[in-house]
Amino acid sequence: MNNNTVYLPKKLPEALKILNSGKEKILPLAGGTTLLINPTENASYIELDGLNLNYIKSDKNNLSVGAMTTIGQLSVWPQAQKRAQGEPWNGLIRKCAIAIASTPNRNMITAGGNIVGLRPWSALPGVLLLLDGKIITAKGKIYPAKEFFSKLPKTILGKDIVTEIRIPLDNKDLIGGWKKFSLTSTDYPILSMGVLYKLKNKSTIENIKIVATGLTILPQRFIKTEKLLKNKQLTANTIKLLTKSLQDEAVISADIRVAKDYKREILGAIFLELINNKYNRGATEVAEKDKNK
Amino acid sequence: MKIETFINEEKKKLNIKGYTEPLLDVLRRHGYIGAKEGCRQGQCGACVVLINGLAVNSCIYPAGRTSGKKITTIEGLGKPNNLDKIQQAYLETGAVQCGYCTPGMVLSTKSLLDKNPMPKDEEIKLALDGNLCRCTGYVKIIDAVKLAAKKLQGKK
Repeated sequence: MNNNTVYLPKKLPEALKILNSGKEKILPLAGGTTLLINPTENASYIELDGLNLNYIKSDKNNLSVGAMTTIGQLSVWPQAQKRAQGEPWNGLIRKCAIAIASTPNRNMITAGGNIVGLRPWSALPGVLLLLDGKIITAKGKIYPAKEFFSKLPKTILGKDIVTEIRIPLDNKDLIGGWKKFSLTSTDYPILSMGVLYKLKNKSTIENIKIVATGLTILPQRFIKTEKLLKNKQLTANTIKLLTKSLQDEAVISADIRVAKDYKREILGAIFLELINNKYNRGATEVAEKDKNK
Repeated sequence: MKIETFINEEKKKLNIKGYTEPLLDVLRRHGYIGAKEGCRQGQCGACVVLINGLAVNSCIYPAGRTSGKKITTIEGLGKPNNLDKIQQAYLETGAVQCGYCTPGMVLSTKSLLDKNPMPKDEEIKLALDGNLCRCTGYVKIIDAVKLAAKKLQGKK
């Protein structure tokens, strides 16, 4: 057991005040999955559990997820909302959520903790990049995902607290897919990858976003390959060329488990799988779910 | 430090050694020894208990956080001479071998069936994905969940 001091604020302003008191090293405590395994030495924590940051709301413009909403809650949300059916990218959020850890841990890991901690299992940052998500903080700042994940989120946040993630709902025509590659279903991913795209004339890509997590600490977008794909017809030959471009563009950090070249190969294979699923709306599990209805 | 919580629907005042003492240690110290210590890393599910109906790994759950919440341990389900329907289903299908993972498995099953009374195979696998059985009796465990679902629906 560690003896870290834990502050228990009742309101967000109180939590911010403690965080900015400057007396000691103080860290926000979200899901707490790493607290008992790997506590930060000489740090105190601010418990965020009692601050009413656990909610999922949607209106016609946005899906808003409180920072203390668990990944478990996110993983069942689209099923609970009838209106979500038929919006293919919602399959993307569920697929991403169930790819994070195991059920008992998903019931602890929070949306906020997953995006700020950038642990090996953090998949949510990738999905936020794909869906143009925004990160809202207690000090009232609104960061586009692109900016928030351009550096380590803890550096960007400083002494601020993430309160909400927000995802625009105006991109219903987009086709999405998310794939985790790991040794077992609950193991840390070797890498994860997501695509989100819009087709015109059934086989020409009008727009595409490609994201991978697990290659480096930060999630990675493949801007060069995305530009190459724009307005391209998806033939076997173009897909092959684009897969090569993607592999060349990838920045891969050392990983004790596998070689960089292995990751590069896997990256290409997953991209092929995701892009080849274009006619079943991108996400394999969505197609399977529909098939079982 | 003292906290007030509900364990198996009974109001309890617990002495804890600090907010971050693992819930597993607190429960076992207070006699709830059905929750087992396995990996202490939140990876094996032997220590699973339900907090407000949701399965969590109690070895990495800060005990202080349970204040005011409802904890369900395996002791809250049935007794040796009066088993709960889920426990009975595990017994009848031969889903118990060494038994070390069983309390966690049964509680994960309860959490699933409380929300989804007739789960499909894939949903069962997903709900139990955090519970490892080193005897590898997974097929019978999935059978047990299906039988438990039928028993709870009054179909068996």
